Amino acid sequence: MSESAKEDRLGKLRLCLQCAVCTGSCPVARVIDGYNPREIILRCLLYGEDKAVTDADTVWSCLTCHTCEERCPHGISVGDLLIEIMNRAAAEGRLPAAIRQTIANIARTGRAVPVSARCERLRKNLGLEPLRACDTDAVQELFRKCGVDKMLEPKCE
Amino acid sequence: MIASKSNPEGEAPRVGVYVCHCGLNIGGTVDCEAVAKHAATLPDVVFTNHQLYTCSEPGQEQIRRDIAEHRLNRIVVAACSPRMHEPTFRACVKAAGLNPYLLEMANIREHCSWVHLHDKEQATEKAKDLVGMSVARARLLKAQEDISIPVLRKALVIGGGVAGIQSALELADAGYEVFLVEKGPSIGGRMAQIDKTFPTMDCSICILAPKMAEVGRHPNVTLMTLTEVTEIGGYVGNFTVTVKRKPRYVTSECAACPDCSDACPQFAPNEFDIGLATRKAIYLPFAQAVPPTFTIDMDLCLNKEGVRVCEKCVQACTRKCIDFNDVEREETLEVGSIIVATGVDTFDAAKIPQYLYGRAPNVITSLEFERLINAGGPTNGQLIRPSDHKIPKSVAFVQCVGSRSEKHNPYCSNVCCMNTVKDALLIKEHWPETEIKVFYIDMRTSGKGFEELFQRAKAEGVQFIRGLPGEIVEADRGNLRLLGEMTLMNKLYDIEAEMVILSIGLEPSQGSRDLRKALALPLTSDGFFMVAHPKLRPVDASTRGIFFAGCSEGPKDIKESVMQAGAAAAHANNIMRGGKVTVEAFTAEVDRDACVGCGACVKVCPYQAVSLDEEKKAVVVGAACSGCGTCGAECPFGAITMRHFTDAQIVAQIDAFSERDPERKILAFNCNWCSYAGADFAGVGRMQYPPDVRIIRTLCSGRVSTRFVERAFARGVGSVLISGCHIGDCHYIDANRQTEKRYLKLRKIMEEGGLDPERLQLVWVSAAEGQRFQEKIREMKRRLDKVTPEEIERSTALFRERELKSRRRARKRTEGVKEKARV
Repeated sequence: MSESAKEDRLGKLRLCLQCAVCTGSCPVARVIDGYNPREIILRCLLYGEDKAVTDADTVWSCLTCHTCEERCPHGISVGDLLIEIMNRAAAEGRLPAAIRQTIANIARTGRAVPVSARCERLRKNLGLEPLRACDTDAVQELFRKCGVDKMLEPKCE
Repeated sequence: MIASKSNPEGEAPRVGVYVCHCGLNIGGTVDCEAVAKHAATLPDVVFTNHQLYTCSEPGQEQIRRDIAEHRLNRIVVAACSPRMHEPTFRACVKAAGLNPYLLEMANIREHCSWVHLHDKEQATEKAKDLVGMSVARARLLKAQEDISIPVLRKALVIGGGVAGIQSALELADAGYEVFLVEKGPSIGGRMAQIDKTFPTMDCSICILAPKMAEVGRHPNVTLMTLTEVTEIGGYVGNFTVTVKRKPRYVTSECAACPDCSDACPQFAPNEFDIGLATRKAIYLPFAQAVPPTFTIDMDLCLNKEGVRVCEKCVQACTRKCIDFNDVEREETLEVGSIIVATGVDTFDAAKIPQYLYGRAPNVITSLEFERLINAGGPTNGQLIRPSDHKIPKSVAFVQCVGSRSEKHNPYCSNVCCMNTVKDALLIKEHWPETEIKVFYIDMRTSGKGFEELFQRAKAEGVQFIRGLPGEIVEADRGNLRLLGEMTLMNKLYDIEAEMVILSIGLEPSQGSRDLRKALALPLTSDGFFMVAHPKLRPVDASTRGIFFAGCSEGPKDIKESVMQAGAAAAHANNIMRGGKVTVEAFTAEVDRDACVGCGACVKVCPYQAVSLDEEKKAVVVGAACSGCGTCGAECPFGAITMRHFTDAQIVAQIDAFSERDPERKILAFNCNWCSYAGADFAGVGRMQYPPDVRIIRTLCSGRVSTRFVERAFARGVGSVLISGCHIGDCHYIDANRQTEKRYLKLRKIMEEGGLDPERLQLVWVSAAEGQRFQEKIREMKRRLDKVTPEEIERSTALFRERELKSRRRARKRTEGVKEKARV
């Protein structure tokens, strides 16, 4: 992200009134304890974006539905902020186990959810063709080019 | 007179230059001593000084002493904006026996030190340039005499809310004839709709109604309801106002008995009760209405366009007051001053769909609440739920609805916090068991007695929860669930309430918006009218003789509105009291020898102040001329001189500007009213921009002749900016249309000459748009950095050539015409 885009976003964040309409509107906050977009904005403002989120796991709960942004009186792009934080965490290798597993699945099989034997059986019973194998070489190349494979390398703390 | 005491026109200029530090405001950024030293090297400068505060009494005393001691006959003060202290220094030099127009100011604060805080070196260089330009102009200044114009001792007050009523009463009591114009059928405004006032919990209509009645019967007040202002012309002391008076169809004989409306078969929602009750086609807006006269809503009445199908009201009226032949009339009012008190509208809560206003019946607005809780309202003061007419046991208030939002209104509406505190207490007073929760972002209770009322509400058990609901959803039995987060607990809430009251913000009224077209007054970024100075002239419009009262200038509570109304009346009184005012005589003057009678000036004058006489020479009617200078800019023969803003003075500024590194700089022409003030605003707001620009002030952007721009490019200037009021906002009717034409013409010349036309820019900047000016300069600087020396060379050659050619042509034509005259 360019410096000016970063500055623009931070400028917008500074408009935040902490009115909590974002958290009040968030479908995830209602079910995931500790996930609070308003608090993430406050942390960004008080500690800076880089140090805002130490516990990466909560950020990954965002469904990017953008309801918060839609209702925010200042139209702050909370979703974009979270995506940026997720990207940054990922680049540093701070990925939650579940996400890491999903990426590994895609790399190995080309699918986020592996095809189970039960699924194959069901398809057969319904008269559907078996799922075709994906071109995993292409997927892996894509991952290499995008640097996704590096995110999966274990990091020493 | 004073000018004759010392007649500097005959003498050689002896310029004194004073560089003000303004404490650290200028001195902290600009090396004032270096600027003063530089000034000493300039032609005709015989004395320089730099002072901590030039505007202070010792500072002024120094100037007065120096004028005598060093026989100074021109004074340049390099300090703040002339819009700030020009009157101060004019008075100062006048006291020393110098004509006040022999003073010139260089704006090195708003246009320099404040906007280049972090570039001391460049700021100092810029200050030197600005002083150099001012000295160049000062050397050519001539003494001017103000003209005195008569003032009508009559005032117009637009808007019949509490502010308008108060202004009208104060002026009427002071003996002036007052026209109080109100768009609706009754005066009273928003205050009449409100139940109680904070923080005293007074009955609103009880304290307003006597004032309404008083203004209605005051011998000096002409009350004009159902009347709209359509046009305003003229100037301070002599405004001509056109009003449209809609027919009422009921004569003033009306005794306000309900017989006619009882008989009327047509129903409509009552606007006064925000549609919570009905009225008839013939109606009295509310019980205390002034004038106490019924009115017919012709959109609702069955009788249309003279076709009489229903006569029930006519039959019912024993006093025979109904007149279906009443027609719309136009009237012209002549007044000396105008007070604008056009009030506010409220935010439309339906614009925030997740709060369900307009969809869930038990979600109401704070204004609807006022009507419900009012004993004279549609429910006789019973706070009942629209869905089932039951009194709610739990009520939730949601604050900041439509306020403090980039999407809606960015400002705080000022009154809603206290209004909610008051409303909550009113509910507690009537139904103490009611559970009340207020969802807020910040409770703003800064006013006399406000915090105390807030504490009282808490003591009565009103709960204040920090965190607005993200959404409101409908629950069983017409109840509502508010979903949100209590930020102070980091905990989500899901709270059920039987009724939700949305605390809606205030907006500039439609009336203000309509009136703006007639007044051409600048607005601040919030959409409300802008005052001449936010601190020191808080009721004056930028146009002399016009004042603001109440919410037309910004959201206010009743007390503030009444205070501003009183101040506006006092200022209007100051203008009218003497029966005359002095105005600057910056009018156009025609050199009859140079005039060839081409009539170009006649075509562009927005005031029809220029005409051709029988000898085919242009003549200017002084009283009609406002001094915009667009005629002077248009005249190809230099036959028109604009007093105090002459071609020679402006050209001297351009030449002084281009003495040092012109290719690396931007020359800006800013009009006095909007764009110069806009650049001042950028300064006051410390909006930083590149220090490469220097501003020349003209009264109107229409004064900027193509010759000035050509002159600048011929002298190797890198970029030129022309800046004026927005189209439609021009202080000289529409003189800025000419600006646009000249700009396009110049761009075409540049394009055809193979030059980069982007080096010339035009931007409309209102007095509130400092940021727009800042952005424009930033953008122009980026472009300027790409301009090559070859490009500069080409433009210099092209415009030099054009200058020579046009001079030859003008000479030839003048000679030709004179020849013809001789024959």
